[in-house]
Amino acid sequence: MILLLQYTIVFTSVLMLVALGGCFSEHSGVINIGLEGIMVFGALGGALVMRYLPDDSAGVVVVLLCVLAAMAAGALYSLLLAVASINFKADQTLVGTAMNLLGTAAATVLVKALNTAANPNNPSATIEYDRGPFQIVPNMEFNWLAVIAIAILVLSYVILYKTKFGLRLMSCGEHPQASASVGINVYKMRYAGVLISGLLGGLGGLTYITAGVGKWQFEQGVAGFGFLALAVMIFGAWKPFRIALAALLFGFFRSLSNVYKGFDFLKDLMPGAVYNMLPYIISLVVLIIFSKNSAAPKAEGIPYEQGMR
Amino acid sequence: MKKFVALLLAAMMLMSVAAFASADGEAMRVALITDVGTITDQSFNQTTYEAMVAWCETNGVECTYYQPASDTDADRIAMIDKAVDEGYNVLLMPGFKFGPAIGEVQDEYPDVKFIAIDVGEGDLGGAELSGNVYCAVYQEELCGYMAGYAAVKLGYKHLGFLGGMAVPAVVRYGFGFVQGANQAAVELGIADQVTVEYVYGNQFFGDADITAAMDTWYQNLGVEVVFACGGGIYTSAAEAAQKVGGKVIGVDVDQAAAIDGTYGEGMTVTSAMKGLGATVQALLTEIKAGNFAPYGGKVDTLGLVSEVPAENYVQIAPSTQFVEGVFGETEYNALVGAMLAGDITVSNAIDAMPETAITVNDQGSVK
Amino acid sequence: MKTGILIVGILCLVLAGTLWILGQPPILAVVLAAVGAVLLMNSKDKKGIEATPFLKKQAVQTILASLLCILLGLLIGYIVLLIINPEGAWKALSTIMQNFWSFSSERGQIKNFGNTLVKTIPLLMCSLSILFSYKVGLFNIGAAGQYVAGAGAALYCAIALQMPWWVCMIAAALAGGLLAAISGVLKATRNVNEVISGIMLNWICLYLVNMLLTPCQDINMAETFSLKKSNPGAMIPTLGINSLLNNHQYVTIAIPMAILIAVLIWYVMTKTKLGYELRATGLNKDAAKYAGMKGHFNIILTMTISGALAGLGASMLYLTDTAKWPSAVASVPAMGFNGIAAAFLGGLHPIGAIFSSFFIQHITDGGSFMEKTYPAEIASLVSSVIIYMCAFVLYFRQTMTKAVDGREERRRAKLVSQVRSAMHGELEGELSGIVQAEIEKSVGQDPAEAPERTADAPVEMIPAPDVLPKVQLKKEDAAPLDDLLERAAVTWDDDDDDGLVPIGVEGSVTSVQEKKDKKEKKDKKEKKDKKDKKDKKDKKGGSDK
Repeated sequence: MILLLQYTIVFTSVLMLVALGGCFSEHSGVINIGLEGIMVFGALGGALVMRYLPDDSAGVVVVLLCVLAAMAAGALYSLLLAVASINFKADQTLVGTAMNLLGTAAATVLVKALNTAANPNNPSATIEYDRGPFQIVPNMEFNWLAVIAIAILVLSYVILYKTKFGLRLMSCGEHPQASASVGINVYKMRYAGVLISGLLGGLGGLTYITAGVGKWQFEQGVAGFGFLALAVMIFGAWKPFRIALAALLFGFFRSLSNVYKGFDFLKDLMPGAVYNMLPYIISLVVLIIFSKNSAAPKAEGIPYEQGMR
Repeated sequence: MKKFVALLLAAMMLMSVAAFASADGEAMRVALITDVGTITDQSFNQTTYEAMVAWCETNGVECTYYQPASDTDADRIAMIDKAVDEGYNVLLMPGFKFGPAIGEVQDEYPDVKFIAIDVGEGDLGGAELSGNVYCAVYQEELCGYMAGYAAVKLGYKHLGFLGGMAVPAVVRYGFGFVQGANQAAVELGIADQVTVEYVYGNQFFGDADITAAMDTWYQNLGVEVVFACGGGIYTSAAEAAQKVGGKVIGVDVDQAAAIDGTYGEGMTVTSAMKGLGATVQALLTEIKAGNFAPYGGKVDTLGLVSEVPAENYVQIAPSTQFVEGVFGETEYNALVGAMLAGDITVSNAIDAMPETAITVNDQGSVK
Repeated sequence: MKTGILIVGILCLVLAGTLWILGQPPILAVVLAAVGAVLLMNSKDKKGIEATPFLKKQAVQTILASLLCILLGLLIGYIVLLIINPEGAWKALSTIMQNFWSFSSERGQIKNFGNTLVKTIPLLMCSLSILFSYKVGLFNIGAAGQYVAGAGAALYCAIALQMPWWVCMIAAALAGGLLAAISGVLKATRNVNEVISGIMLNWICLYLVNMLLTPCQDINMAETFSLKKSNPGAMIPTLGINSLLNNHQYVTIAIPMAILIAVLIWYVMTKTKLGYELRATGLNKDAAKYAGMKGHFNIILTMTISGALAGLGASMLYLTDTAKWPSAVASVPAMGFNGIAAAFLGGLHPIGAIFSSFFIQHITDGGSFMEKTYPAEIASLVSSVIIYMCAFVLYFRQTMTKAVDGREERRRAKLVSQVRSAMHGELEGELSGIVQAEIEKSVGQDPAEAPERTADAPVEMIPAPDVLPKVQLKKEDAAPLDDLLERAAVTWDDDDDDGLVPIGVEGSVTSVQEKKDKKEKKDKKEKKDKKDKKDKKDKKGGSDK
């Protein structure tokens, strides 16, 4: 039972962080499909910092620095999307797809180069790090990053719906021309949206790789979690608390598919493959019931041009 | 005079033939072609690569590696073509996937020597081997057997097997492990108390999902030791073991140093090893000495050859946590002797789980 | 027809064919064929006022922009190679570019050219699938799952059911289409975003196919049985095509079949009513609905066709025995996602997709031949940078358009001021007006693509309205003007695909055509009413009588 709880929290926090990031971006009007690439780079940033920090650093320092590094790496990578789609009016789905492909390749190349430079006999794309500082309770998967994720959830809701910045951000995604007419700088707002998605996505990536193993092979990217987060974001109808619920649903079933063998009554209920499919089937069913009134931000995906009607 | 000229000519001919026979005329250049994985897969590709690089550095031979663009025979053959095109004349091909490719390339490049590892009769699909090919397959079931036997004898009752992917080598490890555990349990009379959990992770690296499954094993099911048999997947098993003081069994090479160093002293009970690196280096030495002929065209099944465990191709690690009197070096030597003499037989069939007196829970795969 | 361009186009194709037969490097032939095809497509002359300058033509712009993307991507890849290890950088890059040419023997070259071709086909089909649905405004990210479904169906029919190849292919197409139809139905009826339903179905389908193909697995090889041994009848026939490539064992009729399908898709999308309706639905769902097109049905049909294309593509790879399905696939194959990249690199045009898929596969394979001082992932780095650059295609095209328009404006300004300065007195006003009309006729400004008035273009050209005399246009001059008016409204001409994202374009438009239709309807109704009234009167009159 505890295991189920632990891993539910782990998966939920990953999905939630990345989905919230995507939510900010899409609310500002930029479709962000490149979440997977952002996650990889955030994970890379955090892993590198973890690896190169001196061993005797205080736990708090390690956590803080890694979080900041992951956020910074993710935000930097998301600049690719920002510049392309906002300044150059690029097609946002394409940029996102390219970023996904580029993320894994670039991270692998970078890590291999670093590893080979440190030790010519090590051409691997693996980084080893110590997960210790992240665990709240040793020997359990309760992670400080999950706590940060919940804080960010509340923060997102407050920022989006209760501050001027957030409301203006959303208006840029619904009707940028109207926002511009009121004096909002749509370009700046969209940049903010995309950069925030980079911050949160990068942190999500770090959470993903520290969850469960102390060694990550960067050739694997993030094994499709970015797309799952995208699905969670759409599932949550672009609203923070609904996203959290969607992430919870998904995370619960995903962790169930791994730990069900520990429950006697579940062991023989269904074949293993069905447990693996369960998160997706249930999400689909819930979507079918609840999608009727879901609507994306109206002006997302359309490059904004000043003076356009 | 004529006789003298004739003798001189004959001597020259003989010398040139001899020269041709002793050295190939061109320098030896070695290339490794991976089956589809990278050379950092912490499994047979990496072991072969490291062995090759070590040997080439000591012997001053040029070496490199190629990785196919995709998991198709066409691409593997394309890499072989490329290697030959670039002038490499000794090709190492680890992995059963090379079976079909060998039949196609062996006659096309008669001057190139192919060393195919983990490729057995079944993989070749009935093709006859030419003289420039050497295949070697290991009896992983034997060292798996030894590991399972040792684990039960050392007192562990609830075992686990975490395979990377259900490829023949891993399956042989696993089925051997089960048979070994079974034999030890029967000998100790505790067959009804021993259980083996059996699952494949379907990947060669660890991540949160695999760690979750392992956590369930260690914490909920009470598994005491897990045989992590799939490249980097041991990281998940080790992480889970670390939380509850569980144990792990390594694979392919002696993983005690690596695992214990990172996760905690004494975590590795033993490792089921196969002499992949040693075979590669031995063969390269033979080729350099021009002595490939006895190996050409053979499919060697490498297993036990001697009563001395360390000389065998399959063995358990010297760092095994031996306990004299329960399962120590003497008992290990006895076991090896019995297996060599044929008193103990281990089935290497991979189509179905072996029949056992102990309980084996086949959990399919994690993902 | 613009005979000149037509002749050059045909010549190019003939030259390409000759080069091919002579066995010269195929790339040259392919490039020439591409140029020829483009020229052919653009050789149809348009009426005077619509003739667009060469650099403003859709096709030319897209091709130039794509080429620019490729160059920039290669440049950045080269820089990365230099950073890692300057010595072998150029050789590595040239290996990536050359791919099969890097073999020293012609046999090796042809063999690997064949390999690249064979692997291009599924990529091409996936990119067709993506671009087909994208034109209708749907992002079919479920193409990967439909690909998996197609592979599963094809292999199951081949191995477990021992069916001949064409049955397997049809089964694959059906499986892919069915899966996509589920997404389509959910989108049309329950407004479930197709991206998320696609992703969910991807994973569900993956697990289902793994379960389905378990009885077809060869345990010794940890993958499905080789079709050559278990069911040769299921392998796509070669029909002698592979003799062109030294009897390459994997080259089959799948290759020309896929190219034909690409051409077919192009034809359906641009020349048929169905294609027109689908694109209309994509550009503005509401307008299409008001014009009477069945929105729901179109969405479901589009998704089904997309899915069928992806499934068919999978069958074209697996039924040639090139690849086999491994015993446990843990993640969705990347083919579906690479299809997205290929679709966009090809400018979202079916014919362009052929070349872009080949190019992407070319550099991917070239990367695997590269010197191993560099990580093998460099090739995918280079290709993803190229695809990233493709996103800037719209920007490149806008820049080209601006440059061309700027030139045109300057040319016109010079012309007008020249004429004006040559005239004096009362003739000036009249003549400049007539000259203005003449110039407009011959230069042809497309009002839908009106350039932005930048600061550097001189604005002072059109004389003030009160100076202009009333220019009486003769009847024959009115026709182009009508054209102009019509095109000023909604244009769904295939060439006019100026990159407007189909999703979410606001506003309702009623075209002149619609107005005419409405008027016709009204007239008809009036006539009918009159007739009814008359009938009634007659009847009344009759009964009275």
